[in-house]
Amino acid sequence: MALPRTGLAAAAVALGLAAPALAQDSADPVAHGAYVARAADCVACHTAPSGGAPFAGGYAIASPMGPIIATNITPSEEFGIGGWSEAEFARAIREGVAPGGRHLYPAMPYPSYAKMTDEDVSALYAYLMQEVAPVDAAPAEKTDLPFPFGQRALMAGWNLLFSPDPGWTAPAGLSETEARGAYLADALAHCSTCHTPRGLLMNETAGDYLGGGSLGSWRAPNITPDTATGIGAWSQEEIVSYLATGSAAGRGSAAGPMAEAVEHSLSHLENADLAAIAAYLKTVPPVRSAVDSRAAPQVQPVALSDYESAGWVGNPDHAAALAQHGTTDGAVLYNAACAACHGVDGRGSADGHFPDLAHAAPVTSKDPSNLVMVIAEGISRHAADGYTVMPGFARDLDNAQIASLASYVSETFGGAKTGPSAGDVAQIRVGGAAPWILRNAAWLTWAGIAAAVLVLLVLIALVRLLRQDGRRAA
Amino acid sequence: MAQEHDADVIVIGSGTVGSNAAYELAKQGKSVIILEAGVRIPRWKLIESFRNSPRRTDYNGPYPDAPWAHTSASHAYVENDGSYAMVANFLKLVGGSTWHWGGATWRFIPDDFKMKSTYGVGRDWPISYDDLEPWYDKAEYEIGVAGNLGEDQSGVRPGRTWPPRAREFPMPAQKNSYMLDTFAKAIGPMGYEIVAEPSAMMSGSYRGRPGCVGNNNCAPVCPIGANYSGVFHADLAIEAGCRLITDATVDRIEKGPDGKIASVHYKSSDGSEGRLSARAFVLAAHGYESPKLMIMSDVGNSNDMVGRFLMPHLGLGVDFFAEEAVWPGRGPIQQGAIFSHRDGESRARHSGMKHAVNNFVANENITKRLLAQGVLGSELDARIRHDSARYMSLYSMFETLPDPANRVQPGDRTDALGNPNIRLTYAVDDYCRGAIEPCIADFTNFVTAMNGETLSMSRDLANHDHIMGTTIMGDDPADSVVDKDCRSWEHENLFVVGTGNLPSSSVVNPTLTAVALGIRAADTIAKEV
Repeated sequence: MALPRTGLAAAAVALGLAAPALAQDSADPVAHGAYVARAADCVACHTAPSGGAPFAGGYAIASPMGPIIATNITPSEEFGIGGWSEAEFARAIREGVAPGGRHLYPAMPYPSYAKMTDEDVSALYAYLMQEVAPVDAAPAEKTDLPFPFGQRALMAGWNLLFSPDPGWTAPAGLSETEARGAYLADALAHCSTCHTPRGLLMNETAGDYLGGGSLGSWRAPNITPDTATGIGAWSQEEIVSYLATGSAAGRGSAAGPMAEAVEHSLSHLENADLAAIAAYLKTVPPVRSAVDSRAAPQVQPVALSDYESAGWVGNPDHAAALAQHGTTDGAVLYNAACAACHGVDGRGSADGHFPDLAHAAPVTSKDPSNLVMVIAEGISRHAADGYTVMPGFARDLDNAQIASLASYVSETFGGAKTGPSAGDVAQIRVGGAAPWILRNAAWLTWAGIAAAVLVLLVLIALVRLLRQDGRRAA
Repeated sequence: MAQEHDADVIVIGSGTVGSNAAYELAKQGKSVIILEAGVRIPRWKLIESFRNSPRRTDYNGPYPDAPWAHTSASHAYVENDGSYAMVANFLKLVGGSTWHWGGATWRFIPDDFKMKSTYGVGRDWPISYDDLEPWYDKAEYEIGVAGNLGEDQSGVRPGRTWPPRAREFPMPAQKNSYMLDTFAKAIGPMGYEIVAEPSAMMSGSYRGRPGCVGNNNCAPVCPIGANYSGVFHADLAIEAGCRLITDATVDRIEKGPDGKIASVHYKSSDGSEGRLSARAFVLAAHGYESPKLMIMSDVGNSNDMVGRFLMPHLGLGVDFFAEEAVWPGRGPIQQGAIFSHRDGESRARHSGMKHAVNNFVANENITKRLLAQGVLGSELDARIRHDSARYMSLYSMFETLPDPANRVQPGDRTDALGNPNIRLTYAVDDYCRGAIEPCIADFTNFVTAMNGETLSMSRDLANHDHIMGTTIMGDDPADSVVDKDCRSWEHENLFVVGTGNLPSSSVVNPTLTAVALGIRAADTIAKEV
């Protein structure tokens, strides 16, 4: 099946066509816009963490090029979008160009929002302008990327290459439900922003659509229907449960950015819409990911440490032994820190309240990012089924210990041959390996300048030639 | 010229009260240094220590007891020269003694604040319940407390939510265990009502902590951190910008020429010493250690009130085999309480009391008992199963009155740093003894209701791990240590916080009240520095 990817050519034709019916009541544009805002998860990025005013901006979106600070999108005339016309608003969210011609960075997922229907854009505008309280203040921080990424005009070229024209065309051959799911996943929930791997220029690579991408510290795993490395083995109900609650027993538990997506957006969507997304995900071309691998559980017996023998009251040796907690024996760490919930055998609890590690995606993935991040930061997720917590261990374990614990877990329960090193853990926790474009930014910049000079010289030469031709003709 | 300080505020002690105060100060933008005598030990290490130790029922067992930071495990460190021997268990490590507590987070009731004017005994507080209510609320939402509305904790106001509260508990109470429901049904017809114990062992996930799943190991250490401990706020305080210095035992509080406190001196186990100055100081070192340090430093004690009015909770215990299996040990180690004698006119004559139902797994005690009886082999297995399922135990907590003769002082022995040990002087009074018979009458009813076989029901008073009164709050500088804001009467920039502030002991665990007072004091300090 053909999917609408980058460079969607038929968009102009599609404008206004095939607008998918919303499960939500469309009669009231403001209520409808509120639902669109939920589905597009505007609030997650446009609200500062720990108690910022909704939509007033301030959240720092981690990007390999540096933090990109989400802006104030409340209807404040001076600091927000209060002075924007609907057409200006539409251009910003679908084309990434704010009034005055200022280019946005695609941390704002306008390549996805480009596919939003006119009706939804209009409703979203109505909601933001009429329902959201204006906040007359700019976020405390401002986006300030290093050269050359600070040159926003560069994005014009990027957009030409990678951002589709505005409007929605459903992929061919889908049922009405699947088409609705495609619209929700692609135009609003912008799944591919994270779950599609990025190319050399940080573009989504069309051929690996939803095949799993890296977000720096976290990995957004393969969500195509590939049975071995994707979610092909998940039932429709399991996908819906995961989207609504962040958890599907025996499959996975959302952490990090996905927990945020569940908390702020997906858990608020109507069940019919979650079912539509699940149905659509079943239809996309399976991608065999080299990273998101599932292994047969090989649970091995684990070692327990010895009983204490020394006296302890007033014993400096006992006190000193307790103060020594730098061991990198993964089995010791697992048994003391993890086994109370996940079990010495890693099988969790029978009711799935504590996940079975042998079937937990972060454990069986070849990419240790999510395992490392979950151990370090834990899970803290509000969703339809309440508040779910796994405590984080960053305060109690150093990087070498997290590495040995992650190795023990992935080797013992996930069938891995080796786990991450302390260096790997350090790199994952600071945001992962730098992407190609960042590692090569310096010479690319000079190469780009050289290319521009070359093009200029060729143009000058051409102009001269043409003039000479003209003179001859004259 | 502005004086340079090491911090706006120095907090001595990283336990629940000190850490909550430090966190509140940091949230209000103050620079804060926390000094802690012990070290930080990660939960997993304590769990390993607990599992590897054969001393399972010793609540100090998994924790360090160092010659430079003694705990109550060192009996030579806590000596008694009174007629009644007191040892309240305490720990020294980051997070303090709430590492090994039962999570009981009761509020005092309004009458607890006016014992003198209502019942003619003890003292009135300089503040009322209503003054403290918003701070109770704040403390409950900081810590996370699970409890039920619509329950009367006074015992004399059936059907009312008592003490009154402005809003709901952060979370509902955990479901009753089968044992508690069975027991409630049995004693109900006798007129007894079981009230859910407000608990920091959360019924669901709260602020990054998972909900309780019934490991039944709240003390000595909760394996998953569902039970609150001061370490959560020590960590929150550090995240909010506080600087924590561990292995730093403060041995002197130094007065400046202006009568204010100028600095504190501390020693570490490696022999190094330090001195730090601040605009204000919060002494949150524990109900024994705080007054000891004040006396050692000759601070705030010109009226000789520091360390006096020591109030413990004393009480009795009963254990018995119920006729039918009740399966103790499912859920938290303590859950329900009975207030047949908490408030009301009898309080003018004898201590009010709380009865509480224990809910620990009984196998170890049962097995020891059977082995002592010579039961062996397959009969032993069968009897362990039979007896453990039927074992029940309750304990009572009696309030005590503030008497200046009951006190804590520095002793003559010294620890590895050269600091004095703790000397306690305590005598039980008739007000407290008067509660013994009413308590025994209740216990007898409880055993009868369960058609039980009594194992032990002693009239010997045992002390619980609560210390109140030793840095007592009052409205008269002549007979109290701190004013209504926990401020030293003598040194306007010294705030002493902790359970030692409480001018009455009530019958309930004092931690939540101390946290509420501590956060309130921090808020006062934040307005001044």
